[in-house]
Amino acid sequence: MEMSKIKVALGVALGMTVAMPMAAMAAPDQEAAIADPNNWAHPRRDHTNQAYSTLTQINKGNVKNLKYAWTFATGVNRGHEGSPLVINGVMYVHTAFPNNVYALDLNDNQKIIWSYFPKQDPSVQAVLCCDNVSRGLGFGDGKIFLQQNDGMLVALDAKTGAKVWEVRNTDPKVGATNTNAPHVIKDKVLTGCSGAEFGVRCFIAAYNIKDGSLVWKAYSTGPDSEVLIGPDFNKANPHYSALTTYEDVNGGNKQGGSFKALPKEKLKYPETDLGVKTWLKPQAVKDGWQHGGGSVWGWWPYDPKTNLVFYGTGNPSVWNPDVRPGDNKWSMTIFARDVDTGIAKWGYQMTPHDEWDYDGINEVILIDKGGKRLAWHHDRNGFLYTFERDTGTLVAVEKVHPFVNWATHVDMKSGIPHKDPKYSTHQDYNAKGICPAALGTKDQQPAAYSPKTGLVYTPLNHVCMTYEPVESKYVAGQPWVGATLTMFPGPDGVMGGFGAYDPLTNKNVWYNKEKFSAWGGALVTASNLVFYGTLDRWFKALDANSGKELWKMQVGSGVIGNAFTYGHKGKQYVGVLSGVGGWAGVAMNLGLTNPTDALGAAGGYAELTKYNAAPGGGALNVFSL
Amino acid sequence: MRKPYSISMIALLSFILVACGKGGDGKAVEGESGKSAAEPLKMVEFVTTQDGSPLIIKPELFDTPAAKEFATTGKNPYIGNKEAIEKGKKLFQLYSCTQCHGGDAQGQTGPSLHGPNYKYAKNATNKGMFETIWHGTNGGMGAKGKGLMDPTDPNNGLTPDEVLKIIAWIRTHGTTTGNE
Ligand code: HEC
Repeated sequence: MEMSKIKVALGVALGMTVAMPMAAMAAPDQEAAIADPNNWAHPRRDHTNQAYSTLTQINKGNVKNLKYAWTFATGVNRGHEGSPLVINGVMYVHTAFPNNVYALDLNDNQKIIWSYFPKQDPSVQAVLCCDNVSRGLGFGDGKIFLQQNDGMLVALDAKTGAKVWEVRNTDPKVGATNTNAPHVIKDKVLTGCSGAEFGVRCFIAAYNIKDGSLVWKAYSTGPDSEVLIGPDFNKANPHYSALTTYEDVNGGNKQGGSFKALPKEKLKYPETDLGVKTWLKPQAVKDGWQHGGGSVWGWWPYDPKTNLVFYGTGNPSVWNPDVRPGDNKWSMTIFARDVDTGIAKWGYQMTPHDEWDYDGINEVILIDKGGKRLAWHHDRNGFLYTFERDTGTLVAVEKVHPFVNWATHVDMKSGIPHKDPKYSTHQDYNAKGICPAALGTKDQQPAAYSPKTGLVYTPLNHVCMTYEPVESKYVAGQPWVGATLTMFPGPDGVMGGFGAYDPLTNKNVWYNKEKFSAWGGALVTASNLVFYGTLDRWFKALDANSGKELWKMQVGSGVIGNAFTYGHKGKQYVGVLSGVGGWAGVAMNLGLTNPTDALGAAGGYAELTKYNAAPGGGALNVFSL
Repeated sequence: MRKPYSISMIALLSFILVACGKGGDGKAVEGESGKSAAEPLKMVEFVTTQDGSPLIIKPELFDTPAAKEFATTGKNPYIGNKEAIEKGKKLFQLYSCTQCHGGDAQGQTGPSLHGPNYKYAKNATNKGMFETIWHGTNGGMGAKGKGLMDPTDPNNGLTPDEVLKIIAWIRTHGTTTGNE
C-alpha cells in the first residue's frame, strides 16, 4: 500500500482513510533505544513525555559532589532550547539557527563523528517571532531528523550524517517557519508549523520516515475535512464541539464589552465544521480561519495502547480579538489524534476566543495514576488541566498560582473558563494588570513527571501584562500582530518559580520562587532528584519530595534548554544546553543592552543583561560525580 | 535580494557604528542637491539603503502638501505635528512594525529606532529613514513602500505621506528631529 500517496489534507474522503489498513510497523531501533535507560532517544526520553529517568547513581546523598564532566561549545549564539539525543554511545547535538547538528562519540573523548551544516537563507530569522531556536532532533529507522527553521524537514543517516531525504514542510515566504523537534512515532515523523504572528494557517503533519512523503496533514482551523475531524469526534464529550461557549455582554467585541460563559444546558452541540463556523463575520480578513494561526510546536506524547498522539495548538491570528469574533476553533486546543490516519479522537479548546495570546501549545504528559489513564497539561493561560486521556473528559482543573486573574475558574461540567470582564481586551484600549502575561505561567519549557513520587514538576513564569489590541493589516509574509503589550513581574515580586503538583487534583505540593522565569525544561530521576536551569545561568538539582535545593552550578549563559540524563560505561551523566534567548531573551540577544531599550514585550527581563553576555553563547554542559 | 547577513551580527554592529548626527553616510546626503530637471517637481535624489543605488519613486505618489514638500526638500514637515504623530503611531501598529521593533519602537527582534545611533547611520536623517522604510535593508527588513511591500498587490504598502507620519512618530522617542 502506498500510504504516502494519500494526501488526506487535500480532501480525500474521511471514510476512505479510516478504511486504510493500518501501517503499524514501528521503528524497531527507536523502541529498543528508548527501552535502554542509558539512552535519551526521544526529546523527552520516551513517548510519555515524562522526562523521567530510572538512572539512580546520582542521588540525594551524593548530588552535592556533581562536577563538570565536559562541555561542548556549539559555535552558535542565541537561544538553545531542547536537549541532545543519546543513542548507544553517540550524542546528537543541535544548535539555534542555522540549526547545525553534531554527532559526538562518547566512546572517544566526545570527538565529532559527523556534522551537518544546513544552508538557510538568513532572512528566515526575520520571520521567526521569538528568537531563532530549534527544540531538538528525532531518532528512528537509523536516521536523525532535523526540522530546520526555514521549513525543511531533513533525514540524516545516524551513522554518517549523510542526507537521506528532505522535504519542504513550511514556507517562510508566507511567514511560516518551524522551531519544533521532529517526533518519530512508529513509521512516521511528525512536525508542526510556526507563524501565528504572521497570519499563517498552521497544522501538524506526518511524513513517512522512509522517504519523507506526506502521510497526513491536519490543520488547526478550517473545515472538518482539513482539520481531520470525523464523525466520532468528541463522542464522550460532545459539548466540546459547541457552536459558541459565550454570550456577549455590552456588545462583546468592543470596549466595555465582555463574554459570559454559557452553562452546559445552553450549549448547542455537537456541531460540525467549527474550524470555519466559529470565525464569525466580519473578520479582519475575508475568512478569518484562512489566516487563523494555531501554531504547532510543542513536545508530543504518544500512547501505543490507543494509537493516539497528543498536542496543543497556538493562538488564533490576529492578537486583536475584536476583529475575529467567535470562539476561533480549533486554536488553543488539545487534540488527540490517531497516528496512522491523523483523524482526531477528541479536542478541547482551553481558551475560546483568546484575548491574551495564551497559546495552547504547551506539552501534554501521559500519566497513569490512581488507576486512571491521564493526560496532564499546564497551559499558558495559567490553569493546570488533567484529562482522561482516552476520552478527553476533564478530571481536575486548577490555577497554578492564585495570581491568574483573566478567569475565575473553569466550569467542570461545560469545560468553559469563566472570564473576568475586567480583563477583557479591546481595540485601542490598554487593559492593565492581566495575569499571566502572554508568555503564560509556562511557555515552551516542558514539565516532568515522576511515577515514583506521583507528582509533576513544572517550571513557572510569574509575569503580568498590559495588553492593547490595535488595528493591523494582513500582508502575506509580514508580521500580523495587532496588539502591543508590556510585561512586568507578578505580585510575588519575582518573575518565575518552580513547583510540584499532584496531577490527580492539580493542587500544589511545593513551590519555589525564581528571580527570572524558569525557562528551561525539567528532568526528574528515580532517585527523586529534579533538575532544571535558569536564565541567570544556574543549573540546579532539587529534592523532588520537598523542593529543597541540593546542588547548583553556574554555566556560561542563561538556560532555556531541557535538563537530560544518560548513562555511559557505568556512569550517570546529567546535562543541559545553555545559551540565553527564546522569547524572554530575544531582545537581549539582539544586543539591546541599553537599559532604556528594554524588551518591550518584557521590560522586567532587562536585568538579564546583568547575568548574561549578549548574544547568548550556545554550549552543552555535562556533569557527573 | 537580501544579502546574507546574520541578524545577530548586525545587531552587534549597531553598537559599533556611531551615526554622526547629520546623515553620516555621504551618499544619502549628496542627493539633497539633486538636479532631476526633467521632473516638474524638483525632487531630491533618493537612494536605496541596500547599496546606495538610485531609488526611483513615482512623483505622483507624493500627493499631499507635506509629501510634496518632502520630495523637494528632504525635510519632514510632520515633525512635531501632533495629529500626524498620532496617525503615525497607528500606522506603525497597522503594519505590525511593532512585532519586530516593539510597541514603542524600542527594539524587539529588530533594532530600536530611537536613535541617535542607527545601524544605518543615514537613518538619523528623515530622508535616510524614509528610504530605509520605503525600500528596505539588507538584513531582514522588507520594503514597505506602496507597490513594493506586497508582491501580490501593487496597491498595498505605505504612501510617502504615511511614511512621513510614521517617521514623525518615531522621532518623538529620540533627541533629534532628523530635519537638522
Ligand atoms: C519582520 C521584522 C520587521 C518588520 C515587520 C519591520 N522591521 Fe524595520 N527592521 C527590521 C530589522 C531586522 C532591521 C535591521 C535591518 C538591517 O540590519 O539591515 C530593521 C531596520 C529598520 C530601520 C533602520 C534602523 C537602523 O538602525 O538603521 C527602520 C527605520 C525600520 N526598520 C523601520 C520599520 C518600520 C517603520 C516598519 C513598519 C512599517 C518596520 N521597520 C517593520 C525588522 C523589521
